Amino acid sequence: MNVSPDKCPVATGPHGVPDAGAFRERWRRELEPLDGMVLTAAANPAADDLDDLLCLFHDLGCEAVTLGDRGVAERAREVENVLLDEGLSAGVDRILDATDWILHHLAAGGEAGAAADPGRDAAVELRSLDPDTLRDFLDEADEHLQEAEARLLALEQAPDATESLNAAFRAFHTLKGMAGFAGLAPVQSLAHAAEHHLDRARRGEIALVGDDLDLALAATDALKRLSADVAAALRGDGLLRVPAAVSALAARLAPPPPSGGLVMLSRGRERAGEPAPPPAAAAVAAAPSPHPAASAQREAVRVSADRLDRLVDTIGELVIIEAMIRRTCDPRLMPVEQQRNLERLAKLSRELQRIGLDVRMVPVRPVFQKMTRLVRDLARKSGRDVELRTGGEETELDRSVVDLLTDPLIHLLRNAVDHGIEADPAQRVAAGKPARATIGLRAYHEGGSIVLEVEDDGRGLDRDAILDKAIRRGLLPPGAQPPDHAIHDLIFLPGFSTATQVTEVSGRGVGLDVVRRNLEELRGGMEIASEPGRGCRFRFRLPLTLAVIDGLTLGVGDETYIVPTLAVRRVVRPTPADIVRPFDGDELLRDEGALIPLLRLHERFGVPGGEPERSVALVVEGDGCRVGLVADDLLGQQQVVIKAFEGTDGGVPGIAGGTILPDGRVALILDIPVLIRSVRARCERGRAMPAGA
Amino acid sequence: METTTRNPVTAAPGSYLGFRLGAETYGLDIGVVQEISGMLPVTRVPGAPDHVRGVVNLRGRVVQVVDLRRLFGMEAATETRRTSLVVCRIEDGEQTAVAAAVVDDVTEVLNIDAAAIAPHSGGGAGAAVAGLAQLGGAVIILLDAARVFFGDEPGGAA
Repeated sequence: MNVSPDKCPVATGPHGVPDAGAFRERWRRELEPLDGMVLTAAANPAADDLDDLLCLFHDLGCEAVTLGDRGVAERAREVENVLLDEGLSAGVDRILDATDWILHHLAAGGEAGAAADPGRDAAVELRSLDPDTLRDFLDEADEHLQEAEARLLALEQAPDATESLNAAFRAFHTLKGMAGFAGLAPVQSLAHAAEHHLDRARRGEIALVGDDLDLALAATDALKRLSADVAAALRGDGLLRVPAAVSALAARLAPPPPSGGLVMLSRGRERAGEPAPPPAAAAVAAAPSPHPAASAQREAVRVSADRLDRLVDTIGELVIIEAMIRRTCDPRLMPVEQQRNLERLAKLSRELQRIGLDVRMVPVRPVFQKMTRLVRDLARKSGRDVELRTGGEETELDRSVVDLLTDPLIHLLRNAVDHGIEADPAQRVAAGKPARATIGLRAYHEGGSIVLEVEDDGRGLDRDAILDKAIRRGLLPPGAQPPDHAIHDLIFLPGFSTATQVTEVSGRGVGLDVVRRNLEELRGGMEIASEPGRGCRFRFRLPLTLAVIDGLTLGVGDETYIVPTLAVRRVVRPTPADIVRPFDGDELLRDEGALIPLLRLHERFGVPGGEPERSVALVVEGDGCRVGLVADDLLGQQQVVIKAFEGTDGGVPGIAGGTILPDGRVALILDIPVLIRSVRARCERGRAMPAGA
Repeated sequence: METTTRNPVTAAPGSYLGFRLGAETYGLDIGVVQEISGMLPVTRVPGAPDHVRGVVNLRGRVVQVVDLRRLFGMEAATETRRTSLVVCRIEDGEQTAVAAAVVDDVTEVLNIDAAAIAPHSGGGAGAAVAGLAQLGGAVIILLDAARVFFGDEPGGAA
């Protein structure tokens, strides 16, 4: 906790009175290098860093409160919460966002001289506005902002692309119209300012590079935040608080007209149903349809997520009922006509189930767009010249899985930029590679999974350094020469990767153990391929949907349990000779020459019975470790729809959820990673875990 | 009124769904009752609290079932045709949860006015009791649904 030991808790002026100016100055200095600090800390998670950051933001929050600067105080508290709840790696984006906001706010205060004065923060009472128009605005704002951002980033790559410029201009223009129509004056002003900024670029008054491009992107970010704030305010107290920094940003984008009316954020509703003509009339001709209605021409229809879930649930019920009917009717006793109808019903319900799953599929494009921005920011911060090439943005996956992609992707991309790519372009040129580094990000389907690849053309993994480290840590015997893939796998070992020596030399594998474990919990996995000097490729795999799995049905006493097929390596019927019980330990199963721990489901779940003679053992794998699960019988294999338990607080360890069997009863789905961890904990209490295969 | 400090949930007057467990009549606020269903096959959930009998398939949803007899320390009853599930929908902050309780028999909807409600000195499993009501000479035990299903003080409030 040594961010700045000399820092006093409250900024004071010459007479010990809280001084807003000193506060701003000092905290700007304090926070300016924070981006780098956060990124480094996120890449090398050490408890100290987290504490330092917590301390820093806590102090900032306290001081801001003392000075009455609610905006900064709230943001600082938000960062504290993110740090505590999600940790540094998961929350890094939100932390950076908040830090950006605070810096903008402080900087704007420096210019306007009143940032710390809450009187300058404007507010809009949303309850007085039309809820339907607001909802329309929220529904569409994100899309336009994403479009704007994507186009701006494209412009960065190709500054002469007028089509990109026009498209970004149109996006802001549409947003301005929608905001005006909804009565969101501050949003309208900022969108207008951004539009004006782009218009100047279109007229050639400014070039959208460097700071001017950053300014446009800052407007996109601020608008995103405003739209998120609108959504939050609608759920909360209905008051949209607009920080003074927003008007300051608008002022930087578009110098205010003499009256100042544009940037003054009025509380009232500014009627702007018809978008104000952009400053240059000629610009309109260049933009084919700068009209809010343009977005209505899409072929897609917007459906609320709730309604969609209800539809999919109902389809699920129908499929189950259909299965139950077929199970209880004997077709031989039925009139032919009825038999035929039943067949048709079965076919239709299968079709419906397929559609039901289809409906939930969305493309990965938005995630990739976010990554484009991330890589750009990371590259700028680390001073590397990096181009991100994306492919397969159209690849679709279940809505519930999309959010789960973000974390591993951020992790791998940050790794690639910070450690994979050579810091010195000369090194690259010397190695015969272009000075500008390329990171590839691709998505595609393979089997029932979506595969994502992050590939860089950096220096690759240093095989010798890893091997050396592993031997010195006693993970491998001296002189061992394992195959490449086994060496690469070593960087997934907990603790191994964070060792500074390897990080410095090979520069890879930071915190990857955590990423891989999270992926396995989602029934996915990660692998790695590397070529020294040419680069490194990480591939990770997630199921297309979390709603349906292939499962093996197990009988345990009178009870039925499901094991996700993906976790199962082999199914064996062990003979007594296959099971070993050391005199002081738990039972072990011979598995391909190794001994693995056994978990008898009868014992674990308190089911009576369990004759060893006719039992079946499933060798399951997770977290780099194998365990044999013993049950009475293997009843079959089927696709099952995973249902969360309703009305439970917390859930039960070892049980991932339930599914409905064709006879209408509920069967429980085993949570393999949790079971494996519990076995491992048991073994570690006893003695060392026997080495896996 | 020192009882209110020990058991801050106090039954409000209004309509209650009456049901029986053994000889006693109980009431649950009709506002949280979503439906009443016949008994369904229950799947035991290993590791769940003792008063949770398991989960059932309620038209495609997997819903937790609380055994009120176990919750109140009564002995188990044999299932009859009248054994029912009272399915409740509970708003808990932003979330709504659906859960069911096994009861011996559902009787009728009871209208209980404020004067009939006596405070209850809750403790133990009684924490789920929100009050007692006098109705035509009988005593109705009024339950707090949120505490029955998500008992913040399982096994004892003290």
